[in-house]
Amino acid sequence: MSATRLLSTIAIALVAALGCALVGLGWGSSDLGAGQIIRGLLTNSLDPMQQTILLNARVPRVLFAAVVGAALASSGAVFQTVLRNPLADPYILGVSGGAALGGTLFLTLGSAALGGFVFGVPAAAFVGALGALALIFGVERWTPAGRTSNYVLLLTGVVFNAFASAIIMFLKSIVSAQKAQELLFYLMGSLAVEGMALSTLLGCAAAVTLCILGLIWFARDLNAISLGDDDAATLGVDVARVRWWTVLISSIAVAVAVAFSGLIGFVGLVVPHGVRLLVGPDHRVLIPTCAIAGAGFLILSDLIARSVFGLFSSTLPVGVITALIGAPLFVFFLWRSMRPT
Amino acid sequence: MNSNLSEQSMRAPTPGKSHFFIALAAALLTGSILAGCEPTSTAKQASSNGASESTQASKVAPKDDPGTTTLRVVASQTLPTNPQRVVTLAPNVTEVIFALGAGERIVAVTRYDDYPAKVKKLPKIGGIIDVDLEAVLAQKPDLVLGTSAGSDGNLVAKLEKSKIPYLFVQMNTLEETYGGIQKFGDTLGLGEKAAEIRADMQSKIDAIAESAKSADQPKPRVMLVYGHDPLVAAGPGSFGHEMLELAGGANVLADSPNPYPVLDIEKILSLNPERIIDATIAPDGPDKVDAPSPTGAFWAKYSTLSAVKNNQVHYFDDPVLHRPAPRLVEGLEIMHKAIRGDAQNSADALKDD
Repeated sequence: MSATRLLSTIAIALVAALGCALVGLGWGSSDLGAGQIIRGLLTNSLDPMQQTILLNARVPRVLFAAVVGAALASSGAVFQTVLRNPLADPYILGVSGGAALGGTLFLTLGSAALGGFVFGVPAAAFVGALGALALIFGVERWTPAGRTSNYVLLLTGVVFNAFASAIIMFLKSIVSAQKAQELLFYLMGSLAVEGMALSTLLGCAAAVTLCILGLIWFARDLNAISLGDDDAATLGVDVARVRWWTVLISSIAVAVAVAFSGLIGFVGLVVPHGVRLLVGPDHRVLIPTCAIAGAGFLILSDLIARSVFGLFSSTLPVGVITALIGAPLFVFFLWRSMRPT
Repeated sequence: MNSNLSEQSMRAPTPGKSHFFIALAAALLTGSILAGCEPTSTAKQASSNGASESTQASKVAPKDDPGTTTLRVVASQTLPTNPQRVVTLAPNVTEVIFALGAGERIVAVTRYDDYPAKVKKLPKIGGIIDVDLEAVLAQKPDLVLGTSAGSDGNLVAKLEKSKIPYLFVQMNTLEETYGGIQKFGDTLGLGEKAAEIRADMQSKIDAIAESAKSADQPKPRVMLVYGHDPLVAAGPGSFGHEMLELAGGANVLADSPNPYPVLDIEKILSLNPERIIDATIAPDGPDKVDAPSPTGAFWAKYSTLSAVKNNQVHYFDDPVLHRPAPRLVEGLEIMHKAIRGDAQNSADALKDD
């Protein structure tokens, strides 16, 4: 992979993602359309309310969607390599579920005692994500190797999600219905940024960017690991160390995303597979492209969630859209991976 | 745990549509997440679908109330003449019974009941949707009272089987609220008291509506917000909408096809209400009214909103705004003051006016 090819791939992806962002900025639940915005910006004739819609409603939402999408998609790509499982996705593996459980536990039980909401929830989500990962690694370690061991991991993830949901449902039943309603939306993953401070949003963006840079830093080692642990070791890669670090970094990214957006599934599955088809398996290209494509994908999904369903005069949690797109694709990938090759 | 939005009043001011989609998506996702994604599918069925209601064990055909509207009633064939052990399945029903002066006959309530304060100490039979039949039976009630939103087919069938008399009355509108109070009063042998309460409510409400009408200002464009996360507001067909219009406001969501639409902030910015009545119940419940209002910080970010600019965001952390019971008169007074600009907590706003 030459440097020019790398740069051109990323440039193309960036242009596409920026296109998504412009589309995301151009439409919404109000009548303010792209044409009006562009005309208004060029002639400086947007009225204050339109400016507020653009700056306080759409820009934060698009930015947040980009951050969450980038975090989920690049983590998904790394999980797929490190766990050597094409169906790995932060949601399916239970990492998101663990983060959600941690976040919810903190929201319902801890916030009263500790008060530190802004940093408490992501910290708790991070602990939850790590807990889920520890479980997954434990299962992986103790499962006899074999063709089916891949599916043991997935089943563990699914079961863990169910378990986490059960505890979350229990918590839901003991809190006020107002809070229960919030938890319900949290579980479906919403990118609503109402009430979120700009500094929080920028903090998320910075944390996720650092994580993605960290993952790119390990890209060569991940390439080696994708050949197999033994080959990687022969190439001088400390497999255990690379796994530990990349999984840790991915989990931080997922925890940050999940802490503020809730459970958004399948982004980490659909996007890496699509990107791999287009740019190949080299992680030096794959990870940045996944991050950019994930951002674009979630911006568009969120646009659908917040505008198309205006027919019902309602907005949807974006997790509904990603699941509607992602679940059929998951079945397809499952079918493909089960096929004798 | 005392207050809440989604299950506290029988017509559950929750986003109906979104619940449906959440339920749908949840089924797609794990199938296990949202066992509690309750209210509206059953509630909707019970309240808006007369056919399904009559197929439920409704032994009593919808009866004409002395008022103008037809009450939707689901009741057991025989009702006791002088019930003494009553279980209520909704906070507003509890309030009605207390207003009738029969509060001491209530032996158990839902976990959302909070008014009058002493009901908090009564045994709980679960929520409005997740009624625990065994807990109901344990109280040996001679009558179970609820609203139609709570009368899901299963519960009625179970009560039928257990031979517990029951009476569910739909109370989604003001008219239905009057009718429900009368119906409960008649059943408890307190028909006269009910008529009295009803006449009193009616005259107070008429007075408010009259003064709202006669005011010479144009109707302010108002939005009644039920929650921030998600942003839910009152649309036509909701009890809040009816109250808001009676109190002299024009609902900015008058065109909404959904009684409890879920909005994003963009929609609110584009509707640009002149007054916002924020009835979000604080997460810790309405008791802590002295705590700093979460509403101020929430709305402050959107300073281009007329309501924010003119200091016309009114925060009322009190279930009277969404509970159809005699106290709704207080709710209406609160709304009237907020809409007509002389609410206590908008003293500053008056200077602007």
